[in-house]
Formats: sequence, C-alpha cells, structure tokens
Amino acid sequence: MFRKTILPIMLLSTAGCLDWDNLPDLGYQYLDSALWDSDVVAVDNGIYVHLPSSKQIAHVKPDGEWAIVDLLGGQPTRLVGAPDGKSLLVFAEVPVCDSEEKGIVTVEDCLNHGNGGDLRWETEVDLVRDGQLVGAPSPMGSHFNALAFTSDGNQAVAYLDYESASDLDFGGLLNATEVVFMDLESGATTPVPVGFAADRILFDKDDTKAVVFSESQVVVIELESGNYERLVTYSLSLDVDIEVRPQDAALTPDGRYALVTVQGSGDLYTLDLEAESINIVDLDASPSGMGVEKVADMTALVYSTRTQVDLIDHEYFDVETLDLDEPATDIQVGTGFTMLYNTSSSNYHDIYRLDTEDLNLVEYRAKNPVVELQISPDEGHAVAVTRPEPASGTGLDALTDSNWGVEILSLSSNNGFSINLISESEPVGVAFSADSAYALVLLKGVNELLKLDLYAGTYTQLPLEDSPLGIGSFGSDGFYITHDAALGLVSFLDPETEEISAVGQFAIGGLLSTDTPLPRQEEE
Amino acid sequence: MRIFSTTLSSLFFAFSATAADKEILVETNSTSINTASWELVNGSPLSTVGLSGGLDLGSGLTAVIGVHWGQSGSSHGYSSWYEEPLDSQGPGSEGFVAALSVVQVQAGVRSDQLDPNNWIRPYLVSRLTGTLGILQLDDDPSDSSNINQISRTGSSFGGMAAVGIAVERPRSSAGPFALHGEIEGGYALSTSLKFEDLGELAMHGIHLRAGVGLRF
Repeated sequence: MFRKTILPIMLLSTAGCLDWDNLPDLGYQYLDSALWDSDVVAVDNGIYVHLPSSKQIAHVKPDGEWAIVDLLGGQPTRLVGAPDGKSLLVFAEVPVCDSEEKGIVTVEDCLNHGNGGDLRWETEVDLVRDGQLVGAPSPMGSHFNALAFTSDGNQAVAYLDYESASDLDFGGLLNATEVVFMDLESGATTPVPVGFAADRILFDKDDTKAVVFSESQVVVIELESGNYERLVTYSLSLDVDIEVRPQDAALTPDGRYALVTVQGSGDLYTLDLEAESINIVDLDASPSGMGVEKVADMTALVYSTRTQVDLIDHEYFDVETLDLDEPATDIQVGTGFTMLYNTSSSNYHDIYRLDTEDLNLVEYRAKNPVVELQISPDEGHAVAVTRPEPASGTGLDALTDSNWGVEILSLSSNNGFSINLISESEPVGVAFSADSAYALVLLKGVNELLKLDLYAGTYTQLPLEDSPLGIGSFGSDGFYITHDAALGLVSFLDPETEEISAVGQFAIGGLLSTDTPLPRQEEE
Repeated sequence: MRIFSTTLSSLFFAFSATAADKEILVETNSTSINTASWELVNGSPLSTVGLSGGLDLGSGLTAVIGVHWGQSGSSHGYSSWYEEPLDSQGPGSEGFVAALSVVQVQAGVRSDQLDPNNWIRPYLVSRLTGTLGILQLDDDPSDSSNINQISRTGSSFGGMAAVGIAVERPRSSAGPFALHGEIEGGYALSTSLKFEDLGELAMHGIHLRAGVGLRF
C-alpha cells in the first residue's frame, strides 16, 4: 500500500524541490576535517584513499568501482603502501570499553554509562590486499607512525617519525628507544631496542641486515633468522654529554659501508659493516644533501652554505672537491650522474649535472628558483618546477620573474640546453610517460592536464573534471589525478588512449553517522 | 500537488456530515531537531508548510489529516589554515552543500472543549506521521553536470502529541462559514530517515505549529 500508492504520491509532491541549481543554503557549517585525504596510496589495481571524517578507507579502481575497506571496526590513522605494489599497511586504532555494564555498544555508551577510564584505544597495523583485510591485525604501539620496507616487501620496520607526528598521543609512557619489526607474511611483530629516537632505517641489498640510525648510535640487526638479533652497535659519540643526531644516511652500493652525516657537524661517519669498525671523514661543513651513485661508486655531498660539491670514493674515502657558482642543497641521483640544485628560500638559479665518472660538470641556468626537480625514467630529461621571485627586470624578464615556471633540461646536452616555460599558475604535479617522451603537468586551478613534449616543449591539453591537486602513477603505466572536490573525486588516465575517467562520491560514506560502535566488544 | 488536493477533497466529501463540521487550514510547522547528524543539513529547526483538514466525529473529537512540504540545507567547509602549511591544500576548498527535502503526511485525532459560546477552544491532538526525505549533496553547485551530485531517499514513521489553542467564532452564533486559527506545541518522535550509505538522520524534537483556515 505504502510503496504502491502513498510513496509515488509523495515523490511527485517533492519533485519541485529537486532542483540542483537552487539547493537551499541557509547557513555555513565547519567540518572538523576534510572528508578525504588527497595523499592517496597507489597500488597495481587502483588507489586507497583515507577518509578522515568517516574514519574509513576507500579502495577506488579505474573502472569506476569503489568500496569501503572493512577493517573490522579499526579506524585508520595513516596509510602506507608496500613496495610490492599490492599491499597496503594501515595504522589503525580500535575503541575498547572495559566496563562490565550491559548494553554498552558504542563509544558514547561507554563514556556516558561507564567510568571515565573504561574507554581505551588499542592500536594496530592492518595488512590490506585487493581491498580486503588479510590476516589478523598486528598490535602496535600508538606512537609508531612510519614504516620502512625491505626491497622484497616481506618485512617492515615500524618507527616513530617525529617530524610528521602532528598529534602524538601515546597514552602513558612512550618508549622511544625501540622499533618494531614486522613479518608481513605472518603478521608477527618483534620489538627491538635500538637507541633513542630511531628515525632512519636502511636495508642491505640482500635484505639480510637492517641498519637503524638513532641518536648517537647505529645498530645493525640481522633479518634472516626471524629473531632480529643485534649484530653490532656503533656509538657515534664516546661522551654521553655530546649528542650526535644523524641527518642523512646511505649505504654504499655493495652494502659494506653505511655513511652518516650529522646535524651541525662536518663529520661524515663511515661504518664498516663487515669489519665492524668506524671512521670519520672530515668535511668542510654539515652537508645539506647526500647521494650515492652506483656507476662510479662514489658519494656526492652538497652544502647550503658552500659553493662546492664533494665527491667521496668508497674505497679510500678520499674527498675530491669541485667548485660551483652557487651553493646546492639537494641531490638527485641518476645512472652515472647526479643533479645538484638549490631549493632553499634564497633565490639561486643554478642546476648542475655532474657526470660522476669523468667529473664533467654541466651548468643549467633556470629562469627562476627551483622548487622541485624530477628525472625522466630514461634519464634523457629532467623537469624542474620553479617559483616566482622578486622582479628584477622589465618586459618578459619581469613576467618570468613574477610567475611560476616549468623547465625542461636536456640531460644529453653538454652546454646546458633547456626549454623554459612560464606557467600561468602554480604547477601542482609532474609525472612522466613510461616512454619518457612526455611529461604530464597539472596547474593549480586549471581544469586541464598538459601533455608536455619533452623534446619540442610543446603541449596538448586534455580536459579534466575539476581543478587538480596532484598526479601519480599506478600499476604498469596508469596515472591517477586527485581533484579539489569535497565529496571525493579522482581521475584515471589511460596514456595509450588518452582517455580520462573520473570516479567520485567515495568520500560520502557515513557522513551522517554519529555514534561510534565498539566493534570487537563481543569477542572480548 | 493536484493529485493530493483531489485526494484530500475526496476524503472530506466522502463523509456525510452536518453543516460546519469540517475545516481546512493552511499551516506552518517547525520541528526543532536536536541531534548531531542534523548539523549536516542545518542546525536550525526544520520548517515546513502544508495543508490540513478536519472532520468532526462528535463528542468533541475531530479527525485531522494533513500534508507538509519543507526544505533545509547548508554549506559545509573545512578550514585547516592553523594545522597545515600555507602551500598545502586539502581537497574540497569550495566545500559542499547538503540539502534535505521532506514531505510528510499526518493523520490523527483532536479533542477540544465543547463550549459553543467561547472563541477560545483549548485542545489536545495526536497524529501519526509518515515522512519521505530526499537528501542531496553537491560540491560544485555552479556546475549543472557535476559528477558529485548525490541524492539519497529515505522514509520514516512516527507520531506527535501536542496541546494547542484554537480560535474561531463561537459555534452557537456562527453561520455556515467561520474563520478558524490554531497554534500548538508538542513533541514529535519518529524512526530515523535512512539514507543508505550516507547514514541516518533522526527526526525527533520539539514541534510547533500554527494554522489559519475556514470552518464550514
């Protein structure tokens, strides 16, 4: 009766209300957080999107399908993609109520009817593959927020990345002297004491050892037995009053040496992982960037305050210095070369290509200061995004100074050939096609994807559904583009057909939910 | 609209009744919904307009029916300037609009004081309600073909009880037609409107109603 008679009549009655052009808008409400996080995690078959407002994860696929990942009531706080391209690791928290009172099924019930201390949050790491939770969640300390993976993706190390811990809630006591090793196949976790504030973990090329860098200490841990035993501990300081804080760390290509630069010091620690010895190379200052180049088997170091690049061989650790016109702060490493550039707030323009075998130094002159630089997959070009700077000239020079830019550097050129493009707005994303013929560029507020020919500097435009926020690759050759849309919007680009398909609406799940269920209450 | 008017008229004239035992009113209704999920639509009370009719059943009892329409909505935004660096931007800088359209049918019984010489007639009323709600979300209202135009439909059933005062010319001296006004207050309870994956919207709260019409 209701469905056949009254419901159609009521629907007809409301027909006049459903005008999308004139939705009633009687006020403004502030949300506590965005409905979705545009820093998505790409996997082979799509992307995972964190939905902070509804405390869920959406698995979005290029075919337009999307689904909420069931974490058995776990509320995700951070997503990390594993190197296998299939697995997602999720830091999550689960509400648990210790009250024995009956009828408590939600967090709100627990707060209202139980004692104040009855509610607690358990923290865990969940493994997700193909949109499904795999195995049982692994308990994890609430302060851990970052993961480092072995190259095969079978093991991970959880640690505290204090720099990105915006809201550190560790509930009681925080043990900042250990990391947790995880076997991703079994989900087993093993805490290992490593020293205070460990925040950098490297693995040797065979994934048999992990090198953990912490304050004044470096620990080598074996990974083969499953016991995660400490093989050797290197003390970076013999005086406990002197704190040595690693700034950057890298392993040499053969995995024998670990190189550690130190904040505020010109000491470069070289740790011999085989002979279990330690040596210190005296540098002119604390380096701002370090890169290990495999072909020439040497390490390049640059300094924000010095117009030089230092090259260190990995046999005798001799330092060879080359002079630059301007200081560099960053290094990108290619095959047989490194790119040196400056991303500080100073208005330096130089970009250098250093061929590491013959020490040939090629200077490129960007029109404006560099914000970021990427090397194409075939290493034939690099693309630099530049920012506006105070205008110093007139005419086209002034126009260039006051605008963002995209610069294409030819890496086969020995005379610093580049193509300079002035951008009408800030570039928010750059990605390369698999054949390295094109760069895909997104501009803030421009509803177009620019397909930039790296050889000619010309471009074509592909229309987008909405203003873009970023671009990334997924699978073998696909791309995703995130958009500035509140209710969720991602586009997928097939580079072969140039077809762009948009998927939206994935951020609306649970928008009206109010009470938070206690998901695993019955099991306990 | 025409269908519903015809339905109402048919209901009235189907009854064989004496003169001046029927009424029809234009009215406005306000329900102060005090639930957290209501913030999505609008924090302020839901106002509707409608038509109602009544038919005396004798012994101070009047059967009443009515239908109401209403809309509410608001914009939503997310501000993170104090949490994130200036050069970062989260998705949804333009926010979104959430709007609710409802149509509600009511049927119930009113009991009033049988004093044919008095202009003021206090009364008690209880009604059963059926509500159809359509929730619309749009994060780019300026784009008529926006991919994120989202619509979900939900229904609910409930009831309300109220006390009120009716004002009308004393029936002892009224002719075949008399002006009639009502004002009432009470409480409305109902099941939640369930909007599929969006969740539920509770619809209970303090209810106020005012109407003016004709008794004939």
